[in-house]
Amino acid sequence: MSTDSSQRQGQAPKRPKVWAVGGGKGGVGKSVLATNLAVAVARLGHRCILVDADLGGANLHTMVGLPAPKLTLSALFNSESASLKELIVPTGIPNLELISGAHALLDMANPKYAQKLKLIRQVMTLEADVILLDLSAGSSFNVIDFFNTAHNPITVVVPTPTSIENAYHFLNAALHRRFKQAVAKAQATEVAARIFSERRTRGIGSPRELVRYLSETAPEAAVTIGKMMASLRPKLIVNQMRREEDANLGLQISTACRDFFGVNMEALGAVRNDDRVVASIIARRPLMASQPTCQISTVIESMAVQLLQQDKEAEKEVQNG
Amino acid sequence: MAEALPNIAEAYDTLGVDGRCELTEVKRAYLMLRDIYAHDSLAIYSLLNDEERERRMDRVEAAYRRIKDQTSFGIPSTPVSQEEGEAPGDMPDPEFQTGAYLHWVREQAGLSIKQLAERTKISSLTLEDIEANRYGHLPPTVYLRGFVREVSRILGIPNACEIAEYYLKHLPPEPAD
Repeated sequence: MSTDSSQRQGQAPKRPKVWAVGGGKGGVGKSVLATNLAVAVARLGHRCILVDADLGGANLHTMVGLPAPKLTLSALFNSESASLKELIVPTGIPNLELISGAHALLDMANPKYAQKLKLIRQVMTLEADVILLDLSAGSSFNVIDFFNTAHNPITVVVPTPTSIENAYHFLNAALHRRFKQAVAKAQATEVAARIFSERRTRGIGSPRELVRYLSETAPEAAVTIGKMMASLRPKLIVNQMRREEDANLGLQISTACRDFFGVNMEALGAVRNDDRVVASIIARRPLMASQPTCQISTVIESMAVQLLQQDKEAEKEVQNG
Repeated sequence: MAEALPNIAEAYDTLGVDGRCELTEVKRAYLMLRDIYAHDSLAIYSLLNDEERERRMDRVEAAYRRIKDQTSFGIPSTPVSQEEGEAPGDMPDPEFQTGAYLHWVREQAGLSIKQLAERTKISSLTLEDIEANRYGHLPPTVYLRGFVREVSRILGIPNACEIAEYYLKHLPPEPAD
């Protein structure tokens, strides 16, 4: 699974796939899952770079047992370093490297749109099979822009109303941003704004109904918008599951999302609550590296396999036009 | 509940299932949606207000009724059982007559033992033994638990794990040999 072979055959260099874990509530286990997913990808023989894009609270270096690296993303934003490549540090785990986000100054937690674009562009030129972005919690544009550009945007919930509330808020914001961009692209801003302002009188109660109504009034624009909305394929992981009855929660949320947002959000699975995870953070060694065959690691590995498989299929679709 | 019955395509769309799928699939989708839009459902917390939730629940109920009515036209949804030839009757208690309950649900779903065996990959003999509570013929508990869960799951029973535990409670104590 090396990128070199395709490059040497004179084809365009293979672009890495970007997986972004972010949004929702803090403390639900985004960084832990991002780290373990990255280790799983690396163990499966794919080159993976873990990027700590949680600029307000970067600590992935600690997760993998490294001291805070000297060169981090902050160097990129300060223009001290021109390229993202120079920030890569080895993690000691084969196939896995890290770009840290430590030392970020306060204002760096909110980079300007141009800086974000620069970062996204550079991420796409990194030599790896998978880039795993660990984003922060919340629904800021910051998180959403990275989330929406990823091939595999992944959000995490735990089975509590607070977490689920934040997850829906985040998804709503992410979809809304994509929707606005799609509407602008389809040059349907006026129609969309009119329908939106009349949504109460027309009995439109959800984004899905809005799109459906739009397809009746402005069919051409609706095709463009529909395509752009469908290209966003968020994934969901239920973390810290404690009750057996929550085993279906991921599927339930994804069904509700289809119903309400008209978006296919795939439930990747559920990870049980386990003290070993906390122990692994204290030991500063990812569970996937220290106990790759334990139940949690197996579940996370199967998620990585699913995502890799989907990347492969998406690649084929692109090749076949 | 005053909602008019939707057309059949809308009904399938509401339940999110393919129009060609079997009634058991439809039922499973329906039970799942009913859980999702239930009062106090965690999965939709903050997504819908109560009024909206109820509206959706009504729509799901109406869609399910519509499909059930449609499919029960012409072909009876419960084929006359060859073994017994009895009427479906009332639902046996899932907790105390678990075997009979599984039999009843299967009949309701219009599945023969053979069809269920194909789907669960459990032999028809074992399935018959489970339904008839032939305890002496049943596999060891570890397997039996999985079998009952799988049967319940395929039949679209939402609390498959619980049903398996109910079933195991009826087993006679293991002989100490």
